[in-house]
Amino acid sequence: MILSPNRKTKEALKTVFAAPPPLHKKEFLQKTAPIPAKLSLFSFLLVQLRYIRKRVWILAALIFGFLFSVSFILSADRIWALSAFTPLLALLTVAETGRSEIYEMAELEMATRFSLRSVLLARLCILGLNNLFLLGLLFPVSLAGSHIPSLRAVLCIATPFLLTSFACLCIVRRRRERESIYLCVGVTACISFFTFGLRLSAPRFLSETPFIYWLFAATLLGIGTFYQYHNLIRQEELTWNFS
Amino acid sequence: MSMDYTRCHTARESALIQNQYEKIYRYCYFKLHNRELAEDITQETFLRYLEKYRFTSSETALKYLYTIAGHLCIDEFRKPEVLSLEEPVRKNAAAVSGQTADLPLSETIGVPSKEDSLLTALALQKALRELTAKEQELLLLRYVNEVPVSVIAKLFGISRFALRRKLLAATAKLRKKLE
Repeated sequence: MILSPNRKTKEALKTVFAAPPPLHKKEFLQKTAPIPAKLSLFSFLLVQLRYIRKRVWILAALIFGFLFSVSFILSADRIWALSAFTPLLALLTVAETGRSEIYEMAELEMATRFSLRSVLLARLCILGLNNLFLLGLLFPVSLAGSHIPSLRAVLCIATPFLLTSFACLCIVRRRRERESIYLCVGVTACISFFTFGLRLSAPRFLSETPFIYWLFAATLLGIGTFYQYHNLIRQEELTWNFS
Repeated sequence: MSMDYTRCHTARESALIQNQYEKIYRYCYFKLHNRELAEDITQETFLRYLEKYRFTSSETALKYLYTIAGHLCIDEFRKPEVLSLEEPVRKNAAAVSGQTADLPLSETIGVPSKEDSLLTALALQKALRELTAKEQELLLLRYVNEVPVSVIAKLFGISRFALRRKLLAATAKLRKKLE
């Protein structure tokens, strides 16, 4: 049987085919080196902030205003209201982060100065901070006068949020088309109605379900969402970039 | 905003040039046997790649690089002959035209650390001269430049199996000459 050359022969082949060292390699590499980015992380985030659509900020402000008003109107069940409407914030985040995927603009975005990964992570970071800020403002208001422990309330709000993020990311990743956003809206609406319906059908569900279940569900969905975001960024890079 | 096509835009492009520079240069040197000409063509290959094909997968990138380099080498041979004071240019015209090629071995063996390696290299040098330029090119690409089989197959326009057969045949021929 004929075999490929052994290690010794391969080494000898390398010696035989060796070329004299190139003279101008260093200069060429310097000449073609990427233009160094002079932006700091904060400046980069500020630049990316401008690329997030205005409608995202307007909708986020409307959701915040609505939930803030609801917190004052409702004497009880503020946590449930917050829990039922936070999926809308998750939907906004997914729609904006997965924009490259939905509109198939990743190839064009890769022609820009920054890598697609950095751009997606920056967008995710900005929107995540925005969500955290809004929920941070709403949470104390919703918790005021409630007998539900804070940690349980946090999990109650986080679970639908993470479930929506996970489900919408699954849709965006699998159906790379504009119509996928309508499917995401449908799923978000279902989760919101289900959360609200749960409150109506089982009023003590939040306080009576063992804490460990909430924790388990939130952790599992958190991992799932992280995995989906990770794959979303990786998928774009694998599709268009060097792998 | 205007794009500077002669510069890398990402670290990956930069890494690709850094990793492949010597390999493409070696390939060009194998074809041309002229240090400066080989280096000029290597740089031209990367510049053309950056201008037109930068948004490709790594495997396709390799294919483009070797194709561009090969075509540029052929273009070089088509140019009217210019005498060089330093090295005899185009002494290996056969390498491109497909005939048996002379290898630039005597000047490039360097200083092997062991006598054994030197002897093997010398024997191999002699044996390689018996192979056709195509077979030498295949061996260079696969075992020296370590180009993936799929890329070489696309480069030569043959199937992976056909390539494997050609590689095995070349290796067997080489082994026979060495015995």
